Amino acid sequence: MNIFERLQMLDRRWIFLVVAIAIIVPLIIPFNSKTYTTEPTEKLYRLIDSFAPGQDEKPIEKDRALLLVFTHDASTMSELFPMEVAILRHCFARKIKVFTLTFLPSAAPIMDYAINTVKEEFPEVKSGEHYVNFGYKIGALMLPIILGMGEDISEAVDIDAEGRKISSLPIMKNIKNYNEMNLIMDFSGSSAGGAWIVYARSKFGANVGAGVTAVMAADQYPYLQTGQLTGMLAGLKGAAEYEKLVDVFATNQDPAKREFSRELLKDTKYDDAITNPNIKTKFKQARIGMNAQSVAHIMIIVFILIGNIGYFITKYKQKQQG
Amino acid sequence: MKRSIPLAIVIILGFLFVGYVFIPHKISSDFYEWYMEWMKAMSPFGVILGIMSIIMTHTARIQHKVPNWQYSIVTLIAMIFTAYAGFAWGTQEGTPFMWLFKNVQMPMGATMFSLLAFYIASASYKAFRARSAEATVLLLAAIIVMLGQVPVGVSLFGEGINDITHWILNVPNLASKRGIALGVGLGMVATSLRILLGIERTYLGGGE
Amino acid sequence: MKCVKLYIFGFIVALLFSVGVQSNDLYAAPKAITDIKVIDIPNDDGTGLQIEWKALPKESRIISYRIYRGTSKDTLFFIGEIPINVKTGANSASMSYYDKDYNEFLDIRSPGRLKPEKKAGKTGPFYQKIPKDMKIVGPMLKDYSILGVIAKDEYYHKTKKITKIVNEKEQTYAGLKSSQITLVKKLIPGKEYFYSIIAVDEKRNYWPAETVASGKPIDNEPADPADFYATYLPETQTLSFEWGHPLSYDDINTYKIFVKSANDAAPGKLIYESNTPQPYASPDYAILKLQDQKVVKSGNVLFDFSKTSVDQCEFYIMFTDYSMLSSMSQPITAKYISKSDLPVIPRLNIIDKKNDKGDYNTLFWGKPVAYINSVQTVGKNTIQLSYDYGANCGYKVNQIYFDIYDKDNKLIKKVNEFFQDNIFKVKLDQSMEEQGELKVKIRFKYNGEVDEDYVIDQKLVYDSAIMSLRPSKISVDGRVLEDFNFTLMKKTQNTPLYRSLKKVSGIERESDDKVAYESSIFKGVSEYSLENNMFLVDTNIDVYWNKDTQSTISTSIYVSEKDNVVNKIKQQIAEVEGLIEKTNVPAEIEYYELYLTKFKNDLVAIESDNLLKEINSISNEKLRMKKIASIREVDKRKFNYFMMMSNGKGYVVEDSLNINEDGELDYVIPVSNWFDMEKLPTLIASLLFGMLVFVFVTLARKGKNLYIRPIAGIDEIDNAIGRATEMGRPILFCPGLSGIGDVATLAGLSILGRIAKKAAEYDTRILVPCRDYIVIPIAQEIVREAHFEAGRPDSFDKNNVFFVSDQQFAYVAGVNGVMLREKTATNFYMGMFYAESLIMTETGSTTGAIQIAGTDAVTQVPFFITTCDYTLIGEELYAASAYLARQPLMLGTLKAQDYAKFFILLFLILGTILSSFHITTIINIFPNK
Repeated sequence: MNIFERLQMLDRRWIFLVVAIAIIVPLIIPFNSKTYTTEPTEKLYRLIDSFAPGQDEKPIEKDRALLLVFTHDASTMSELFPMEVAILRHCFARKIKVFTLTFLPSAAPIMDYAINTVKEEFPEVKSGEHYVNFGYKIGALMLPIILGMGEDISEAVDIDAEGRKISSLPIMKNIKNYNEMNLIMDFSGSSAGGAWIVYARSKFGANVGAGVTAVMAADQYPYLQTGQLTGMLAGLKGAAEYEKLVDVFATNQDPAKREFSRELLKDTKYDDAITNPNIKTKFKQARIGMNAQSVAHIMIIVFILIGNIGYFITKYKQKQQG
Repeated sequence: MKRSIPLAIVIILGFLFVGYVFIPHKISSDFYEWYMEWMKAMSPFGVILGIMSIIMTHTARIQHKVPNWQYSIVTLIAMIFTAYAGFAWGTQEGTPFMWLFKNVQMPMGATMFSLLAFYIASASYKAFRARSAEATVLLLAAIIVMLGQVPVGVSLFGEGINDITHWILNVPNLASKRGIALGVGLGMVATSLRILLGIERTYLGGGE
Repeated sequence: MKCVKLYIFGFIVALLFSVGVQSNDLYAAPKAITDIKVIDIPNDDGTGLQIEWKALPKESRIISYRIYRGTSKDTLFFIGEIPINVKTGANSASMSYYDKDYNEFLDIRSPGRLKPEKKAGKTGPFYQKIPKDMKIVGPMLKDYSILGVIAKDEYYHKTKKITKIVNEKEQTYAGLKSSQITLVKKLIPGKEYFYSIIAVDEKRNYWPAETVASGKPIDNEPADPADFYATYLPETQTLSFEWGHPLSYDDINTYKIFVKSANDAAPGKLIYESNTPQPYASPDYAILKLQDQKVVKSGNVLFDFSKTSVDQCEFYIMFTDYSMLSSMSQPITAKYISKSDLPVIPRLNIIDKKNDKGDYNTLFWGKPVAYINSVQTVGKNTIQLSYDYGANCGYKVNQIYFDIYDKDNKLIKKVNEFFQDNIFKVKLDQSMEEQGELKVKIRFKYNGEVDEDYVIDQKLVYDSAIMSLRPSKISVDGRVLEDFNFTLMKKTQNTPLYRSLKKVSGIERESDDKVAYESSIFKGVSEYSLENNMFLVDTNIDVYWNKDTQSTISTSIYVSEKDNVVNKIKQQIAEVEGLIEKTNVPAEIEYYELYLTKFKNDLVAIESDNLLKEINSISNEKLRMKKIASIREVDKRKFNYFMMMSNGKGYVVEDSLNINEDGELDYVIPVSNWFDMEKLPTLIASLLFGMLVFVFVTLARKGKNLYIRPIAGIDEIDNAIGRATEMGRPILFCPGLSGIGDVATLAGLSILGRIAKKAAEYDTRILVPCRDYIVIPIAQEIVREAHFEAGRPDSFDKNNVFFVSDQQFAYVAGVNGVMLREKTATNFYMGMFYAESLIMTETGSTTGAIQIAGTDAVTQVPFFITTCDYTLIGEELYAASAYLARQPLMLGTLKAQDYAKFFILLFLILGTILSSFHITTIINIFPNK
């Protein structure tokens, strides 16, 4: 049996081994790879960034805010959690007012975890002033809350996760309803944004964005095309892109460079993120994950090619013999 | 009698529910809600069927000492212990049941799920052979989509690969999905109709 | 064998370890709360308390705080729980729990008897929820204000008549068991309540707080009114007021507006007073029409603006609650506006919502609107515009015309949107940034005609922050639609007060209002009967509003007590008359006389009411209640609707009232529909399909040979079974992961029947692992019957059809185990599958089995195709059973299916071609859902 025939009969356990190595090694040994940002991600980033207070403006005075809705449990956390962390980091770094909310009991701990993960790096960020966790509200209240926030957020949500009256919190200054809390990001393993599009968007004109797993992204594209979804982060790839944008702009050392610009994005000096010790690992999870995904995809493609080469050579030989 | 009574139930209830789809009237929706309440009440009894089946299958295995009968003991002990933990200490956060769920059930489930990555690799290795023109198209599409999902693809072939990936997913892929969905819809209607009219009775057990 | 022992050993060690972790206390951080504060909630009606405590540190590993309440220090009942993320701890230093509004007191889940929280001490003071035991819950009724929620049928027909002596008078009550009623509670103002908290750590140890705190809810004045605005329109002498919805409005009873001269120190004059429609939200505006510059009410001049003109006056608003506590706004001045500042309010139309159960009214107004909602780049200088459009049932939009102009008003493109897919593309000469601004004019063709006079204007302005054109607000005739909101209101017959339904944006054109069927009756509960073990509620029920006598007619639910209401009024009259005799203060007499007149009118109204006489002539309790219900439930669902438009700043326009032909307010009631017209195409298609089946079945019966396309996977089933027989190994049949309600499972089971019969004939074992409980007995029955039919009842083993697990991946693990251990020669997968499909089939292909799969799960088809030898895609799964049967009846349905598909394709192609020529009739036949 020659090598090609052997390749044809390759024991699948070898494949398993190679795949395992291809996935594990990039996770353990970091290496740099370029992350390319795409338009939907950039658009979303720019929209969120436009909520940031101006240089002479007090963050509390700003009349724009973002709502993050966690609609997933731990099973899809690997893809959605890096997105949530990246957006929260963006908000905390740029002092953008942000609210978090969930209607799933299993998402409440994830929400806490995401906030705390990012908050550790921003000691100046205060609950009630820069962000508020609305907490878990029972599913039956979903519709009343979505509709109620169109009129008055303090009234619809009433109490936050820490038991405080929303109306008494300083963050609520200048924030009343969807006119101010202008963007809702829904993170979901299934169809994201559904109820928000139908009620918050079409009735009150709020912008709705979605964070979805890669598998579900195809189903959500039509909403993006029709503009019902303002932006979308799809899977680990979307998260990685957002992480990069936050690195390049929101947390840029030079305050003058914190506004979005295409030129800065092309600057190759921001491509060393993964090996850069100044960026905490938790803020590049998606990019590290993308490395593993890249290698795994390449491995599979290589396997397919090898298999095909073997197949053609064997066929060619058979033809010659036959 | 043994066949005709269940058949009659299927046909009568079947047509009632078809009626419910077209009749929004209060009487019809009240009937539906009433039925749904019963459904909810009935389904927990199904669990008993499952438990009985597990106990019977595995005790029989242990009795007959079939090969690997020891696994059956593990299964039975695990089942009894989990159930006991739930009944004795409750199922809230912080109880042994929840501990088992979080530290045994969830990681094992996740492990099974992650096997997919390995199996996709080995399956694509075996399956994607350019045996014919159609297979070659499939192969190429697969490679392009895979590359389009990762940054390496853009590095190698430029940003155009993203557009091609989107096109493949949104045009040919979606078209075939819809074609299948159309057939599935009709097939479901046809099968339901066969069952409603009593033409198909295999699901009641036995032949025609 | 050794290996298995190791497994068992490992399992036991793991169990012991888990129990060990349970009992070990590894942490020494504080666990008990030391400081609890009970604070009165400000601005409320005196029924709310806030319980505040210091959160324990993260190291305490707390998973929840359980809150307990009682009316004495030594008996506290569980009322609620706040879960905490054990990893991160509480998010802030102090935690709060609000005990306010109506909330849970006693329901079906309450324990039957008093149960102490054993982990916090067996002798109290901590107890689980308030128990159903009447000895305990009965005396507690007086400590709270309790409302009973009773399913209407329980109250109508299933109560027990109980008489009890209360306040030395014999009273009749309707008695209800605790299973028939749900109780909710509010705290009583001024009463002392005790609270304590148990911290629960991750090992579920209970750590009671060291203290029990107490507090009294106090009725406070309402919050100070904010956002109060006034406008004055001299042209029509109209003063308009608008104010912000007060945050806690649950006990605001009246709104009063005062006016005074700005230079005057004297208190203001009352010019407007209105009650609120409690417990519903009130519309927060007032319009005063001046008569010759005067505010006139029932002939009295309340204020004369000709003496002090409006611009020299200050206005303020006062909120007063039921305890006459009040709060006042800051004084404001009225802004002068002109008619052109106000929008033109469209007419509100109300119709019954079509095709529904009869619990919605549809409210609609105004002409359709369309607006661009987002702009995207889709290529060099080409932009894609998405738009939304809002129409209503008054207008059927046929086409929307978008005319795009540049900033110099040069026409760039005319777009004719005939099919509303909400997207169109425009090619620009330059980039968006260079373009800077686009103007869009939007017109409609509706109800078959183009409305040239109705043009919506919108600008798209370049925004450098998002590097794209941003759609701005839309306007018609220079009036920006988004600046004004509509407030929809409704009222019932027995009140003059409209309640606010909802505020909708100025671009909305339609809204549904739910008019729910009555399902529960609400009654206050303060009495109980220990001997009957029942809660006692009032026996009187409202029947209807008699518009001739302007009074609500009510009666008892018991025939024997039908004169109850009349007697009660007579008693009240006697009491008031007694009071009048006793006093000689004229003011008091006047006050009592008012009541006397009201009671006397009520008495006349009830005694003369013909409908009530008719009801009371029925002696059968059940029939009488049915009659009452039929009148009551219609009457309660009649509503009159009203609409106003405002910008939140006092620019208010009211619509005219909805009046019927007789000049009276028009009350509408939704209708329950018998047929959903939107589903008519579905019904026709189903009937046509049924007819096709009938035709082909008849043809097949007559012996006509029907050609059916061969399906390789199905043809191969026999060979696959034969292979297992030759190899002497079992067959595996997997009926999918969904339940019996899924048609795919039914199709799978039908195929199982055919396969099991063949397998039985060949005497080959067939293994059927199940995930759904209900599928097991059905699959068992199918396999058993197949063995009987094949003449081999002895070879049937019930245990070959078995349950694995209802957990998706546990099931896969089980099935994979079966494949590996039993070395199945042939695997069938027929039914619905999810992400686990590949894990099963790939394992199957490792064992070298022949695999045939069939599924309608589109996402899983690729996995099956790559790993199985044959795959039945989608409809082939459904066809398989019929195909295998080869009976004329079955084949007829298959043939019909083919033709139906042909017709669908025909419509698809026809629709595509016609709509390309702007003919959308065919597309519009089909419903959107």
